[in-house]
Amino acid sequence: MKTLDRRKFGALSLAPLLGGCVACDRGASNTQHLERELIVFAASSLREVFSELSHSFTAQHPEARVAFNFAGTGELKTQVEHSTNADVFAGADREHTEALVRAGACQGLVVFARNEPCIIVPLAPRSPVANFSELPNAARIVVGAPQVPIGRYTDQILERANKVLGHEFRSRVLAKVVSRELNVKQVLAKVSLGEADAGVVYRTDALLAQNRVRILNIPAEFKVLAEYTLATLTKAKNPTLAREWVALIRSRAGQSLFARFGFLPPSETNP
Amino acid sequence: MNEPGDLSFSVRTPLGTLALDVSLQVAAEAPLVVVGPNGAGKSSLLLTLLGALPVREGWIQIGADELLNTQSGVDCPIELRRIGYVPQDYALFPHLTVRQNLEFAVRGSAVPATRFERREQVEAILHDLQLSSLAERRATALSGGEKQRVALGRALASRPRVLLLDEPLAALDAQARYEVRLFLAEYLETLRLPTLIVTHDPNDAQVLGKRVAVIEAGSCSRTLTWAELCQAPTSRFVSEFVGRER
Amino acid sequence: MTRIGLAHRVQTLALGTLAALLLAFLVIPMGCLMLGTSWGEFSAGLRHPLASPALKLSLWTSALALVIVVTLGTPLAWLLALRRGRVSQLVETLVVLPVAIPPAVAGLALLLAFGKKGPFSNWFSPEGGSLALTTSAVVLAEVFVSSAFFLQAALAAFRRIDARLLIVARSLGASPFQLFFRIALPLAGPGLVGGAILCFARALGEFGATLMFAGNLQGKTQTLPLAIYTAMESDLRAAQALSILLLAVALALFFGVRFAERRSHASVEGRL
Repeated sequence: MKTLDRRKFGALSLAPLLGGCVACDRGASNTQHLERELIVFAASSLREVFSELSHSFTAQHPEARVAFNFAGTGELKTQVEHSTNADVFAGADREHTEALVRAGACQGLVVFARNEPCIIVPLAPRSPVANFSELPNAARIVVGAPQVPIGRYTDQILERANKVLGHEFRSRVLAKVVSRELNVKQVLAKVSLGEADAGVVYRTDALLAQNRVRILNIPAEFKVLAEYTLATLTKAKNPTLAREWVALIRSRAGQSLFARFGFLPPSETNP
Repeated sequence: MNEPGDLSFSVRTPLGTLALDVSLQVAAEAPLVVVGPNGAGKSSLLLTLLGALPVREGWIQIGADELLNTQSGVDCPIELRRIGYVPQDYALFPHLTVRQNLEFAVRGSAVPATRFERREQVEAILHDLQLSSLAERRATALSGGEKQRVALGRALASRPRVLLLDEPLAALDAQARYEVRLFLAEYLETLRLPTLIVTHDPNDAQVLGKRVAVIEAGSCSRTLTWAELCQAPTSRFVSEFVGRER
Repeated sequence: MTRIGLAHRVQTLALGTLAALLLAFLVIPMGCLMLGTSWGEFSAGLRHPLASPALKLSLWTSALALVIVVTLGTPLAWLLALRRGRVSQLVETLVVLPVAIPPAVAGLALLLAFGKKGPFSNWFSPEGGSLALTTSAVVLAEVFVSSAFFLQAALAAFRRIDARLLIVARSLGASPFQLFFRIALPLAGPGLVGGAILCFARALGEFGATLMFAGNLQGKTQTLPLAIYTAMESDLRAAQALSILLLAVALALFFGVRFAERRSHASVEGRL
């Protein structure tokens, strides 16, 4: 009899216990969210500069914390479409952000920086590529997938180069491509490890790996600049904090930080 | 290697909490029945002779052929000892037919033979043990007595020099036991191989073996006839054992 | 109803509730995946340029990986099952370890072992070669992550064989080959088949290690999981359709081989 009652009691008490836990969790995260945590979804190439920026942000707003989700721009867009957990979206092109704005998920699109793609080659082993026009000499090339911004920019650059350099430049380069990565950091990693003789990444990424790769400039005639855009989410839980974050990025201090990392200002006219 | 001969051995080895210490001789004309209380080490003794259990100290010989000698480092592997073994529950290969079970043994026997000769051997054994009608049956579809005969035939098909039977009749019902016991006794007589039979049944001890060895707490050092055992029981177990005689 | 009868009912209900919770959690996402697409969207997704090359590549690399794992893994499992010493226990832990390693870690490990900067780089080519970013890398990554599943099942299957059968077989003079091919393999059959299913499924679904070690190139290294991930960057509908395709392929294989496993089991038990 005694064991019977105890078991029943155990089973019955489990339910409110579980319910309590769930309520607790939601309550805690709610209050936590409201008071302290700004959630930023940002393209991988913004990892270093945004992390640095968050220090200034928390200095200015001591009650706030910044949490990041870095990934490929397209992946982030999909995540935003299916969740309500972000406050700010920052992508490496216009397209994805504009799509989110059109869908009503985001508002207030702003171009906040530009980035310049460049060629990288590994320092060791020595690469057969010494400048842009020698790209077809590489045995293995790694670039971004056409579905991600860096991949699209790469394709555009090759298109332009093909028109000027002729000799089937584009197809000769594409013939040496052995992987189209979904994330610019993956391209950087493969070249740093020496698995590829050349790759196309953003200058800001290349600057971070100067001890492992050498940067080769893309001639101005072929160059395509990446436009970084951001927008705040309409369903953001911390709209005020989000606006502050955007303001910080556009401020003089913010912009000089971007310049330090190798980003270009959002337009020619801006200092 | 091919000479017949008596089996003689002296093995000492730890078995869990027990210490096995048995020294015996088994002649070809006198099958030896090994009895003893449960857990005394009877089945393990068979495994040590077979080579499936390691022996810490001792020697095993068949005729002049040394199978094991821990002092000089001789240790013949199971595959080459040519000892026939019929475990409890017979261990027939369940995925093979009776014929295939026998063929497996004939294949493994050291005697080189053509396919035709092998087939002949298998047919001979099927005939001797009255298994011809069962040849294509799966091993799992046989009665207890039939399985026993197949297991015996299989052990013999490998042309062993010694035969070890572990509780050969335990898995049979009372009626089958009676019949098979008589059959086995006769058959062993015709075989003339040194044979050890482990059993817990006093009837087996009387009928199957010419001599009896009693293993208690792992040790045994001599063999007796059934009559001698009855006259002077050496322990409580023995007196109970012989007292159950029908 | 008696007091005890009621108590038993409550207990069964409690167990059933726990079971139902997990079952629902596993089934609902798959349901959403399948029912979230209309037939039109699904067939459009199948005609996506990424679909066909990825499916073909996935199927044949996984099949090759399976062949490698079974051919090399069955003797390994057999030898480990035979010996019980400390060395074999250590070996067993090592070969089953990849189950616990995150696929990305596996990919990195493969890169360091067989990449440009690895110890074998000079074997592949005098100037320093690499297996990374090749189709072979896909197969190698799949072998690495899926072999443990087969090995565990095979080990269990071999260990389940009645030891006396093996002793008897050896006493009959069986050679190691005869013991392995005529006794152990047929008796362990059903377990091996089950392990092979798991291995193939794991290889088919492999993502992290292949992404890192083999890269992502259509027709050469872009397996179906990678194609799904790539499609997600631009076209969620296509990704959904490809996911359903992968799920359907996995289910079909699963049921097909389960059927074969049941037949193999029956034949061992003598019912066939």
